[in-house]
Amino acid sequence: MKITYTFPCNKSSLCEVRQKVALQLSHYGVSEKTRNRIVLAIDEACANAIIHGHRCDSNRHISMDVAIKDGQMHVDIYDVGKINAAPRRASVRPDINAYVESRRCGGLGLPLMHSIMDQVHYHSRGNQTICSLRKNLD
Amino acid sequence: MEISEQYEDGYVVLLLDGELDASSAIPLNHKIKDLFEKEHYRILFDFEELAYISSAGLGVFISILKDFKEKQGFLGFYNMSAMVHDVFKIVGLDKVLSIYEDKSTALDHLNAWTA
Repeated sequence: MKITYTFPCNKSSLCEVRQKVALQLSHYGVSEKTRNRIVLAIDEACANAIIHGHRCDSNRHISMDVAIKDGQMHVDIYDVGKINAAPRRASVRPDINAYVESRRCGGLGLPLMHSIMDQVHYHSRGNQTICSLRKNLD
Repeated sequence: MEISEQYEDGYVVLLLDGELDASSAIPLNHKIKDLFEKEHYRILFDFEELAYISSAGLGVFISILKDFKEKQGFLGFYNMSAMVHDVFKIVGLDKVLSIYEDKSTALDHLNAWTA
């Protein structure tokens, strides 16, 4: 069953998004560790859309489809309107020492998403940017 | 997330209660920078009530680490849940930060470090 969430582009929306996704996953017998990690990956994707795509403009909204089918979790996050400016290049395991040396406070969201999910893909459709996340469930 | 502080003899304990995400990272960053400017270079973070952390939370600790090292400071983390610890491990931050089982162990290392 697919569930669609719509929420304002405000960082305070993230807590509610996490709660709803965790609740949905709890119905499918997903282990706690996997569930927590998936919730984190979705949180990161939504935070990117809110912060980089919409500059935290509460008047804008983001919609997200979450479904589990054939043992795989499907998450599609739609940026409505302005093109999401979040970095989209796939990242490998980050060089944490380099982050520390440069006092870098951002940039770990995408590596986390790639570490957790089996697929992370950003693509455009019209004036929308869609972040698609896939995870094979244990 | 709520942040409370305890001023002890030679160090400060910051207790984090709630969820450390993109929404709450900035107030924590301000709190730590405020302590740094007041020359409190030894900080212990009590994570017992920290239920969640995202990359924004990790970024707070990464961004301050070098400044505290340059001041011969000490940042220690303890009472970390398995869930929060897992996030540190995913990005390899557990190899860079000083993470301890409990406050007693953290204090042992702090005292040995300052001796």
